[in-house]
Amino acid sequence: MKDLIEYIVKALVDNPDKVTVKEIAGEKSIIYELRVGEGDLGKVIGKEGRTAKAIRTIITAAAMKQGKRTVLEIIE
Amino acid sequence: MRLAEATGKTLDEAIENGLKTLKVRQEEIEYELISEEEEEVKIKMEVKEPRLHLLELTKYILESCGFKPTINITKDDKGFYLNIKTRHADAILIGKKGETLWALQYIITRLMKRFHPNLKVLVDVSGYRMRRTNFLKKKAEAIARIVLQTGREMALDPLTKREKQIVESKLSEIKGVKIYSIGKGASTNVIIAPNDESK
Repeated sequence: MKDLIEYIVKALVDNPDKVTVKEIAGEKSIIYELRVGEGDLGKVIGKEGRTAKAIRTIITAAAMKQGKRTVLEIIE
Repeated sequence: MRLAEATGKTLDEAIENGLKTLKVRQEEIEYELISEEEEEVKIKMEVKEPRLHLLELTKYILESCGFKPTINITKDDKGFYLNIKTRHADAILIGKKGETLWALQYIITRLMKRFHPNLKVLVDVSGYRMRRTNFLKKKAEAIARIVLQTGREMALDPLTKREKQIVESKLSEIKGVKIYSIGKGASTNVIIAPNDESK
């Protein structure tokens, strides 16, 4: 899951080297902390937040299969 | 940019560098050895043709999410039609009102367009979109007929933005009816009404 987020985000940004994803797993929920380089925040969020929303929707569906909840935090 | 040249001390290193430049995974490319000297290996790398690339990308996304998909890709004059089937997980992949399916469509298109800018692809799960589109078209047509006969307005069930577009395009083929919506957000109702101007 972490790899997938990293892969999608790296494909979209200008500075793929500065992309890191940290996974903080709890009992019922998983938090993904996504960090991107300066100026790349807009690329991850997308027009009207569409890209961020799409990524969140997909990881939510994946987590649902395991009966868990997820949060994706995006930090510049 | 579907092509890249890469160098490295070893073949593996050259491949790794090329993948970094293109920002893809090894499954998405093919490579050719250009030259091999003692301290430098040079390769040419190319992203796979659209159909194969689409297959590899979709497979990777879904498998990373823990699904075991069967992916079927067909092509017609409108572009590629990608149908995903899973065991017992289709409902999750479609999501509430097709939300997850929409997200998959968005991400897949977004990632594919980097290399194949003119590519058109329709992502579907077990034919859900096909069925839903046909159903909506038939329903819109049937209701429009009743509206034309009775001269009274009729409401459709709440539709999503994309579903509304389908109904709109179908109704634009039928003369004498118009469409408008009331309410906001999830409770928007689409109303089909007789068009007085045409009388």
